[in-house]
This record gives sequence, C-alpha cells and structure tokens, in this order.
Amino acid sequence: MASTVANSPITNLVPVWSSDDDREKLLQFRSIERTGYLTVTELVRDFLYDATQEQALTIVNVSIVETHLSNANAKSYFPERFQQNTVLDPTQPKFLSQRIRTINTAGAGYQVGDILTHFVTGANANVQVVVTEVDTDNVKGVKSFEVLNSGTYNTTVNPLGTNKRLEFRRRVNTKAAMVKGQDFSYDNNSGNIFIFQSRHSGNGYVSGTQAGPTPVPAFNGVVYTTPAGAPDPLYWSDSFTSTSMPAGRGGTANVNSTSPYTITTALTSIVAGSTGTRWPSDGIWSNIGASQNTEIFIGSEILLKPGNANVLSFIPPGTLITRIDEIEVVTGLISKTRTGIGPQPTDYYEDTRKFIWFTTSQNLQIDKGDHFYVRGNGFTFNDNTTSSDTADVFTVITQAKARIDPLASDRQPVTANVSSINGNSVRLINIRHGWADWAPTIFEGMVITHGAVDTNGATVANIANIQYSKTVGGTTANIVTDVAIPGTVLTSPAGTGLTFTFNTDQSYRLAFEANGKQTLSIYAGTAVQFRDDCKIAKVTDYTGSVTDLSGIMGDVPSIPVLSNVSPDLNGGERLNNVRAFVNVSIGANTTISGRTQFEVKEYTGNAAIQPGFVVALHANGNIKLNTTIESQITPLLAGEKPGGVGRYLIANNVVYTANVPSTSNLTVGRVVDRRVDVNDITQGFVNRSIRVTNHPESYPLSYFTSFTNRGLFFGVWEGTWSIMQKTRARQLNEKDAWFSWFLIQRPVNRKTGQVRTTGQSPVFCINSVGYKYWKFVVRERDVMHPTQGDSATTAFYYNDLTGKTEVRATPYRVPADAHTEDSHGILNTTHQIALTEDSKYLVSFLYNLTTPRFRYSDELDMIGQTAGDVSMASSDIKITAYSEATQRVYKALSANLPYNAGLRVSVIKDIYTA
Amino acid sequence: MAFTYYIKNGFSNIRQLVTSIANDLTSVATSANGVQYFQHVYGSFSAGSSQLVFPKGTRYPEGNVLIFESKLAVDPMANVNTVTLAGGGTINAAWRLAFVLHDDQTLTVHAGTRLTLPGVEQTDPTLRGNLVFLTNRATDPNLLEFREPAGCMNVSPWSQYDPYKYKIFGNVAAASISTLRTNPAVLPGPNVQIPNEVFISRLSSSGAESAYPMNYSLTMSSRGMVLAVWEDNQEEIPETQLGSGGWGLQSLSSTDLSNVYGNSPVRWFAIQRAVDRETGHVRGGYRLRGNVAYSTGGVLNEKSRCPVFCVFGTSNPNEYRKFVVRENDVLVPSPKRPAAVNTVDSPAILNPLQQQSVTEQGEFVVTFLNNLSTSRFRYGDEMDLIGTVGAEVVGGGTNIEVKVYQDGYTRTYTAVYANRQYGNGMRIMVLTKADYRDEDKNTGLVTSNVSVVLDDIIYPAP
Repeated sequence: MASTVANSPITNLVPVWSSDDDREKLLQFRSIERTGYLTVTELVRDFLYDATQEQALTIVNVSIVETHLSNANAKSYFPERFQQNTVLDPTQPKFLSQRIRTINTAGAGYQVGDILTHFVTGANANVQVVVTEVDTDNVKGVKSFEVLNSGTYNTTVNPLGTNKRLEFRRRVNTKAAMVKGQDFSYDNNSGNIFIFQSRHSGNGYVSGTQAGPTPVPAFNGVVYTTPAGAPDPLYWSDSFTSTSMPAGRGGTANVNSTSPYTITTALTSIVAGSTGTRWPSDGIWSNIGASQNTEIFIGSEILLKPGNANVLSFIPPGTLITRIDEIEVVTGLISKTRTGIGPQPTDYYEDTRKFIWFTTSQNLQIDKGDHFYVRGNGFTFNDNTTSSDTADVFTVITQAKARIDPLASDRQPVTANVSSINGNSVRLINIRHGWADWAPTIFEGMVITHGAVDTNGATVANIANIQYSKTVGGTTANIVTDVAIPGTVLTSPAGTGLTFTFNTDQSYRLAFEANGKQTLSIYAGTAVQFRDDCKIAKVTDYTGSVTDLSGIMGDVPSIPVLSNVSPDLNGGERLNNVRAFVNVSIGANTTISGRTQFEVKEYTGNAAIQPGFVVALHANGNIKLNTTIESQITPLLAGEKPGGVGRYLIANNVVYTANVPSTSNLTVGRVVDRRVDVNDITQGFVNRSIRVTNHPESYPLSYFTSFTNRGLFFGVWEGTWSIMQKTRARQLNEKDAWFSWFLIQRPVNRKTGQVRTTGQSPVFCINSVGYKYWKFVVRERDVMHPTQGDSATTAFYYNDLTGKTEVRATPYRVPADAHTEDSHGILNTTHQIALTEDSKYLVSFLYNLTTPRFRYSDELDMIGQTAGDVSMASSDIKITAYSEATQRVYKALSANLPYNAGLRVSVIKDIYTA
Repeated sequence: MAFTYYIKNGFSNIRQLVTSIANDLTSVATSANGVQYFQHVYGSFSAGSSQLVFPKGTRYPEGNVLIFESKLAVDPMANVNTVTLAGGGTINAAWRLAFVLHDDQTLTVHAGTRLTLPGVEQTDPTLRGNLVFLTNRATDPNLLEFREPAGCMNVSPWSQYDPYKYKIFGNVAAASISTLRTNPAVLPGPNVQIPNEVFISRLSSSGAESAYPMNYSLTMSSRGMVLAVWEDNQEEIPETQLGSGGWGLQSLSSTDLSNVYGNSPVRWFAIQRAVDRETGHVRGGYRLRGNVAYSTGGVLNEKSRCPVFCVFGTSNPNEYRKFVVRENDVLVPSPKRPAAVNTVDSPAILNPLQQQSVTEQGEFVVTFLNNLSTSRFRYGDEMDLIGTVGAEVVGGGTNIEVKVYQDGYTRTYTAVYANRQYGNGMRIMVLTKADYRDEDKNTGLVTSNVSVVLDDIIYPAP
C-alpha cells in the first residue's frame, strides 16, 4: 500500500509583503508529494483524493469496470455517479474501489446464461446480471454471476452507504400460453406455457394387431390395456379407468369442472399393472414438450400473470416447482385397415399424448384460463462493502474548480471596500470571498458591480500593486489592491463595497482512465468531450474513422477498433472473399511489406469502401495487420463500381513481416475506437503494464502535484531508475518511460505575473509521455474543444545516436519541443547549457505560446526548464520572478536523459522563507 | 557611435556584389558617418575604387580571397589586447570576415579570427589569405584529412575533396608533403553544384544573370553586422527546380520541407556580440564592465568571455546554422550547429517555419534571437540586430518601428523577404535605424545610404 513520505505544507504563491503571520490564509498554493505506490491505479486514486480534498478538482462521475467477479471476463461497466462537490471521507480514500458483490442467497432454479433483472418494486434500478455458474444440485442456485448493463443504480448516494442488497430474478420468458384446455396456443407477450391436460400432437406406438377398446378423445373414463412388457409404468399403463382419477376431472381439462380447484402437493404413486391410483392425482399438467421444458426447471418460481387470473386464483408468493415429470399417456387406439384388393387386416395404433407434470412446493388455487409465469427465484447479493484494492479499470471525469481556475463555474464573487480612488484606479481593502481555504484574488476581466455605485459595467483592466497586509485572519483577508478600471472613474466614496466576479464560465475538465493496474491515460478538454456518462469523445476524419481520442495526453492511441461486422459498411464489413495480389497473396508463408494492393472480388455491402477505411488482416482469430486504404485503383474495370468490387491500394507504410496464414481474410471498415497500446510507452500517460508485469515492488511509483490559482501540475516517476537505467530510452526504442508529467495552466503576463483571464483566455496543456513532449490548448473562451495536430505534422529533431537532425512525423500531435507550423517549440529536451558565466544557472519559464489563432507574450510560470546537470532531482530552486518581493521555490524533478543530462523541469512548490 | 545601413539593388554578378559590399564595409564616407567599421586586411581590393574584386582568371583561393577585420565601430572589443605572436603575426580580440570566390557563380563567406583568416599581420606573406582548414582529427597519419575551413557559412559540408589527395601526410610520398602543404590548390573545396555548400550560388542563373539581379542589405552597428542577399522576384521563384516544361504544377504546389527554395534566393548572416535582454547593453561594452573603459584598465575588468555569435540561413527550415565566431579566450570559430533545432548543448534560437505572430489585439510579435549559448555557458542575452516574425503579417521591405529594451528612442526594423514561396514561412526583420535625429529623417534613400548617428547608448568609445 502506498504511504505518504512527504506532504508539503500549504505554501503561498502570492507575494507576502509585510508579514508571514497567518500566511496560510493567503495561500494560493499547495504541493503534495507521495511515494511508494505499486500500481498506477492506487497512485491516481490518491492523487484524485488529494485534488478533491484541496478543492482543485471536483469529481463529476466515476465509472468502474468490475473485474473482481470474473477475472476472465470483465464484462460489467458500472457507473457510480458521485454527487457534485462530494468531499470524500478522508479516512477512506477508497472511492475507486470495486464493490464487493457477494452472493447472499443462491436462490433456486437458475441456469447459466440467465439474465436476471433487479426486481424490487419501486426501485429506480435496472441493473442486470448474468448467471455464469449454478449449483449442480437440483436446487440450481447461483454460484457466480457478472453484472451486465450500465444501470443507473445508486445514482445519488454515496456508494459506501448501506442497503445495497439487490434481489434479482429471472427475466420472464418471451413465450407463454393460455390454459385453453386441449388447444395449444402462444401468448407472445410473456410467460411460459402452462396448460392442463392440453393435447399433444404426437402419435403413438404401433401395438400390433391386438384388439382393444374404442379410443376416446380424453383419458377420463378410458379403459385401455397396455401391451405386456411395457418398460416403464409411468409411460405405459396397462389399465386406466375413470375411477382412478380424482373427482371433478371431467371434460377436457382437469380443473374446469369444479373451478376453482385446489391441487394438493401429494403425489399418488403409479404402480405398473395396477389400477386405481396410477396417475398423478395432483399437480399441474403441461404439454409444452422437451424444447420448452428446458426453460422450466426445478426451483423456478411459479406466479400468476396479473390481469388474466381468475379473481379467486392464487399462488402463494415463493411457490416453487419442486418436481418435473414427463409422461406419455396412452389415450386410446386408432385402427387402420390396410389397403389392397379384397379383405385386409386392421392394424391398431396407440394414441398417445405427452404431458409434463409439475409438482409445486405449496398448494395453489388456480383456474382454467389462468396464465402463469415462471422464473428462477431467491437469488440476492450484497454490495454494501468495497474491495480493499483499487479497481483496475475505471474512468473518472473531473472538473477544475475555482481553486485552480479563476474562470471555473464554481467561483464565488470577491467583495472589497474602496479605500481610495485615484483617477481610473481604485485602491481596495478588506478583499474577501466565501472560501475559507485560500485567499481571494481579483483577476483582470472581472465585472465590477455595486448597486449604489455607477460603474457603467466596468471590468477590471489591470491589477497593479497587489499588497497583502499583515492583518489576516479567518475569511476576511485584509488585502490592499490597486485596480485599474479604464474609462470609468469611480465616484464611490471610501468604504464603498464593490463586488468582483466573472460573468463567464470557462470550466475545463480532466478525465483519468485506468486501463489496468499499470496503465493510465489522462485527458483534458471540456464538458462537451467528457460528459457525465464517463464517455470520452473521439476524433474522426472525413470517412468517419476514429483517428484519435479527444484531449488525450501522450501519443495517438495506435490500436484501432474496427466497427462490428455487419452487412453494411456503416457498421463495418468483413470481406472473406478478398484476394490481395501483385506482391502479396493471402496464403501460407507470405510476407506483406511495402505498398500493397488487394482486390475485393465479391462485395455485397451497401456503403462504398472509401479511402481512409482500415483494412485488417485476420488470421486465427487475431488481427495481424492494420493499414489504411489509400485509394481505389483506377481505371475501374468493367463491372466495377467505385467503392465496391475492385482493387484498392493500401497505405505504403505497411510493415508486416510475419507469415500470412492461409486462413486469413481481410476486414474493411471504419475505425470506431482506438485503444492505448500497452506495448508502446509513448501512449497513455503512465504505461508500464509490460515492464513491471508481476514485479512492481522494484519500481515504486511517486507523484508530485502542485495546485495554484492558475493551474495544476502532475508528475509521476519511479524513484531514481530514470537516472540509473534509461540509456537508450531517449531514442524511443526501449520500453522505458520513467517520468511522465503534465501541466495545465492559464498563462501569466511575462512582466507582471498576472493570470490571463481576458480575451480568448486559452488554457494550455503541456505533457510528457515516454520522453515525447506535446502541447495543446485545452480550451479557449469560444473554443470548447482541445486542439490537435495536423495529420501531416512533421518536426525536426536531433538524433542523439546519429548526431544528425532528422524529420520526425508527429501525426495529430503538436510537439512541445520542436517548431512546427504555427506552433513554437517551448521546451528544449536535448542536452543543454544552463550555466552562465557568473556560475549561476538559468531556469526559464515556457514562453512563445501560441494557439492556432494567436500568439501570446505570456508565459507558463508553474514549471521552469533548465539543464539536467545543474540541479538534481528533488532539489529546491529559488527563483525571483515578476519582481516579487519573495522568492519562489521550485522543486526540480527528474531529468529526461540518462545520468542527469538533458532537460530538467522544476515545478513551483512554495515561497521561500528563511 | 555609428550605425549605418545600406540597401542596394541590381547586381548581376558576384564580383559586382562583393565589390560594393567591400566598399560599404570599409567606407569612411559621409554615408558611413565618417566612421570605418571594417578594415581590409587581405585581398585585391582598394577601398573607394570601382575596380572589381576577384580578378578574372584567378582560381580559388589564390587571389580570390578578401578578408576584413572588425573595427571598434562594429565590435567593442576590436582594438584591445593585441599581442604579437612569437614567430610572426599578431592576435587581437577582433573578429574577421572573408569572402571567397570559387568560380564566377560561387561565393563562400567565412567568419573567424586572425588565426583562421590570416592577413597582413602575418609576417610570412605566403600565409596571408590562406584559409585555415579543419582536419578530421584522425590520429593515424594515413587517415588524417583536411575538411572545410573553420567558420564557413554553409549548411552542408564541403564535399569536393579527394580523400587521397587531401590527406595531410598519409599515403603521400614524402617529397610531396611539402608541396601539398604549400599548395592550397589541392585543399578541399565546395561542390559548386550544391547551393547548400556555399553562401551564394548563381549556377541557376548562369547566362541569365541580369534576369535575376541580386540585392543586398547591410547593417553595421556598434555590436555587429547583418548582411542579407536576395534575388529579385524571389517570392515567386519556384521552390523546386523548374523543368523544361516551365512552371509545373508540382513546383508550384510543393511544400516539401526538404526542397531547396529556388536554390536559395535569400541568404543572410548576422554576426554580433549579444546584448543584455533587459538593458540592451552589449556584452563587451563598457556599460557591462562597470563603465570602465579599456584604456583605463577595463580589459582587466572584463569578466565575460564576450562571445561573438554568428547565425546564418537559407530558405530551408532545416538549413539555419549558428556558431560562435570567437570568445575572448577561444580564438577560433566553434563547430556549426543547427539554429532552428535543439541539439546537444545548443538550443534552437529561431523558428523558421510558418508561424503564428498575431496577438489577440491584432499586433504582431517580432522575436529577437535568444536562447544564446556557447559550448560552455548559457546567456540570457539576445541578438537584437535581427528578429523573426511570421512572414504573412508584414510585407518584404516594410519598416516597423518599435521601442525595445530601455531605449530612449524608436528603432526601425525592416522586413526582408520571406523564406517560403509566396511570402509564407518566416521573415527576418533587420535593424535599419536606431536613435535617429530629426535631421536624419530625410536621409532615408531607398537605394542607398540610410545613415544615422547613434548616440552613446549602446556602446561608448573606450
């Protein structure tokens, strides 16, 4: 389990000019470092816990894929929505744990594959489970199950609460029958078939030429002799008289004459060769036959279908079927004279009918014409506890709060009193807002309101000379600030109260997605991409194929998920009758490489096969090759139509060197999703599933996070492994990624340090995964999506091994460490010099910021970059920035090249106090 | 001190071009405010003469080398610390600039010091004008070879050399060694068919020189110089070589970064001592030396290595290079490094690609070259003689006026042509006016001398 080895004190970013008494209430800032995690899931759980405790992030929703019920088939996807602003119990940071679903009552009458629906009257729940194993005894209770659907169960309460026993029952069958005496019929709405003495359509057994009594249409009153030597008295009765049947079973159904008729549970034994009581005297007879009988089983509960029952009919709740017998009853003889010239002999055939006889656990009161349901019964499970382990697969949607984002939706207005007025500038005192946890701050662009003062809709244009007095306490930090208001001269007298707030909501969201114990992806975007249902938006090209996941950090997820096979290419098409030719054929011992064509010889789909669609080579159930259709080869041959039968050229970046099995076929279809490749360390955010496998104990994870009033930093690393062993990770040809980080920040003015909260107010994301460095704009005032690189983006990089610069394609990504079109590189990730002539070293903030539309002179001041060899990881670096009176402290983190070389990022951590 | 800017047009061959540049470099005329920026230290050139440099018929390097040395007006360290070397010659703190004509179409430019670009100070006349070549640093004499000269402003190494012929000792008969040593004709040379190996190649204009006249812009200031050379109509010169079919669609639509843009219609270099990013004071000037002049012991107060940075470029994004011409204690040029790509201990100092320069307010941002470093030290300084900007926000030849550093005046930066076809990509802005007075405003002739007198702001006399 993780342990906290360091927990930095809350520290202040805003300069304290007078006294550091009560400094913590001015704090705009907190940094936390923890270490000792074996899994990234535990790590991100604690990070999220920290972030929610610090009011940096609010958890919008959590979905957990439940894997503990069946490790082999983790099917369930079970969102558990947290209430907004829920502050979790600090003593139980286990909110990413799976529920423990233990079987409370195994119930009876289930079969493997039964889909059970939550069955509590009035409960707002539609959770379903599937039975995966039943007891082999007659009771057939549930031994294991999986949660199937994404119900909305427990949507508003803390999942750690009580009362989580859910009772599940078998879903009613789609077929049912009415009791109609002899006639067999279906009710398509629901229910199984239960018919009393209904006719079976089967014909009987040839008995030879022995004469017998005249057959009658029903067995009531029939006297018939079974041939000697019949094997089973249940199937063969040598005599049958009406006196053996219970009174009242006349006519064509055994309960119709004296309805209601009470059936007792006693079974009268049938003894071969005897008369009188050879037939079951009590029970329910059905003619549903073997095929339907498989859906009715011992232990099933029998119920009356509401509405159709006789008002006096009654089946006690919980009545179970306790026995099932299949009986073929001989009901008479059919004589048939042979055809031919002259007198012919007569053959006699038995007329038999099959009946299924059910015995129930309790007495019933039913009537002819009643409808019945049957289902498994009694299964319940408990889920009022959670696992001690963090879930392996989950998605957490979070939203930045005003604590780290001035333009967040949950900001509170800041109020202040006018101290003095000087032209367009006003000096404020007693600045405060409703939060007790950190200092109120007035940002540029805030709207000033006060009913008694004519502010003419003025907004804050500039913040100058922020001063915090030493008298700080409680929630009313006494702060002196000069606020410039252009074009508006306030006439407010000293002491007037003003209110400052933003009239815009520019919140952004982060999504954390664990794909396993050791694979974590992180996304940044808005509520449009990351909705409350925990789904992540996808990015598509003109064919509709998914090229990327919106706002994902790291490289593009490389594993395409093809659309389902269907007759229409809207859903994907499997082309079994496809032949690749020219330099490849689908056959044994064939190698595909280079530019390849394939031919569609037969095609029945409706939608045209388009450039951009993915071609996948299937063999032995696995996808062996994925590539993209570049074009259809023209001219088309006679009979070919665009997008149908014909030949296609696939992209020339195909490299497939393994043999193509002879059983291969090709699938063509849209990419409907993409997955992170756990073999590629540059995908996802932390991706070490392959490397640590079963031995994470050697690679404990650490994280460091900083929250300021303008953004957050999150970095994950593994001790000092990055320094000792990553000699060749920089060439990206080994599967090492020891240090991943991201920064999301609103930039600050390069001269004043003021946060940019006006204009298009972009939010920048810089991230490093697998020693690749990317940047994108999370959102802008009027842009509600994260930005992305062009598919043809290329950048120049220096290759450490060859000593040469080279062009590296970065499709759909914008490098942070190289110039590309309309994007300045802002990081230097190679070996570098930071020492100046006077034995100091330079740490630079990230500047040359650009969005697709604008260039900014602002900086990202939460991290500084310097050379790896001038400061060691975990060192504190004191920096004076923006003419602040107090030095800032930055924490140096791991360098990106072996042996403390290359780039070292340092992250804002504290202010310096001697 | 002085600040002089020339822009001149219409040169059809390299001899005319270099002759004019040489005159401007060494002029003491009114156009140069009576100040001489460079002194001519080697080559067939006489200041003020209209006689063309590089006599016809001579072959490289003999007779076709022109070397100039920075003077105080362009280099605050120029006249300090001159030391006579035992065995001949002198060494000082100045830097040098050499123009070498290889054939009628090919010019290379070199920056260095007295050690690498020896001139009249050499007592041995046979060494004057002999560019000093680098070797391959082999320790086996049989493998020791010459490479190109140090400080050559090219982006591809010289490839015109014969490993056998240009080996210094190995595999050469002993009797031939002395001949090889003294006969520079056998030293390596550039492949004149590869524009990236030289500074200017007129090969594509052979026989049609007047259809592609050359122009240049020369800025000389108290801290360095900028020279940019371009051909007319360059914005429409195709990025790839024209086929016999004329203007092919392929050449017009190509945006392949690896293509050479019109075989380099724009070439430029800047050599300057860096300035402080806050104050604009030049490193090596007395303001950063505690206001102590050299003559009063300032040289002893100079703690900085005072690197001289050289950056130069063609039109290809990958083909910008930089090197340190010299430092106070490093007397030879450093190896060339990419200027637009982060490499080992050498950060990128400019972005040559299509770029975003417009702010939300509709202004555009011009970036001075920064992130300067030598192989030993990082400098927070900037090169203020040129800036870079997105090409489409300002047209070639446009002047913009800015106030920077703590200047008490407005500077003028003039846009040079873009590095991509049709005015795309990156554009450099060259400093063309600084601290002009009212009476100087009318001297801004387009084709000739825009001369201004710069008061003692950036660099004072020692």
